[in-house]
Amino acid sequence: MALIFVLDDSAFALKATSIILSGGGYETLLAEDEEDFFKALKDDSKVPDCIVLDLLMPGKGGIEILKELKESGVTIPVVVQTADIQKSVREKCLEMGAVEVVNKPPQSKVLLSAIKKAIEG
Amino acid sequence: MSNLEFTKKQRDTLKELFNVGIGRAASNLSVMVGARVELTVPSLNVFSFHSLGVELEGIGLDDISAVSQPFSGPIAGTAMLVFPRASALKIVSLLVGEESDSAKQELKKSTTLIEVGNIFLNGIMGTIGNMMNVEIGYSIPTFKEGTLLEVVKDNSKPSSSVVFMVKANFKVERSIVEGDFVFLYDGSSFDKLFSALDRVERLA
Repeated sequence: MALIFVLDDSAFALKATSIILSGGGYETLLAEDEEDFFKALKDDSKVPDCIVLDLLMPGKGGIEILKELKESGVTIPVVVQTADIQKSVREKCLEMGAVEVVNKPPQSKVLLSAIKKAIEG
Repeated sequence: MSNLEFTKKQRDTLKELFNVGIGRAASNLSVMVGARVELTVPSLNVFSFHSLGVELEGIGLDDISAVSQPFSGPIAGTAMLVFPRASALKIVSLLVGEESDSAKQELKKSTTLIEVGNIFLNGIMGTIGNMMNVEIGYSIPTFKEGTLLEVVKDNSKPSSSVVFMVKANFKVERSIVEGDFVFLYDGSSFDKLFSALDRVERLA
């Protein structure tokens, strides 16, 4: 079963997203802040197949995290899930290496399709 | 422009931008709660910061739960999603499926409402940003309870002296949930707004 790692500062969004992912047959790993996220990423026993990343969060924020992942050579595909519907933001995320950008509220079909695309390439 | 008078054309353009944006936000909310969301046409008002009390007196929102999200760029200011407290509890119940009077829900209320606000307000401001072809930067949304006047004062800059307020009401079908979108434009940067509006009008 593929493992999806979700980083979102909203407990509500994490719950909604994990329900969709579980329904899609995925195992989930959840983090509410960047500290827990990066700590868990260092755990070699649980390497995620895909990361679902929020953008607007306290601290670094999704764009900065995308940049950091890229610079540190992390090759796990990233799907950005954000309430920000601006075209410019979408383009920026794709430039920074995100495989797909989906908008909140999370919608099962859209999110699962993006995850599938991210994992299968 | 310092007199802060919108031309009829600018007012129409602004109204249309907010109309489309609020429509998108309502569609997001509708997906979240699984019911149709009805909207009113947004109203636009410009007044001085010092007359806030008088302007908001008749609105009757004395016991509200509000999510406020500041934003920056050509249309800098604060967007707010405002619920009468009973509606706030109801919408949280709809979303998390718990009894409205539980202590746990009180605690969850801000987390859930902040996410609802984030999605709703980004729907509006993002649509407007896309239509104006400008990039809007967002800050983390915050939650506050009180009167509308208290929340608006918290989010206004007395130094800017002028408040440009857009307000629209929405209702979730088959439930008692209703709320308002309130947008406060930072009065210190009206020139940027007028330039952005002129660009939109030229494209239209």
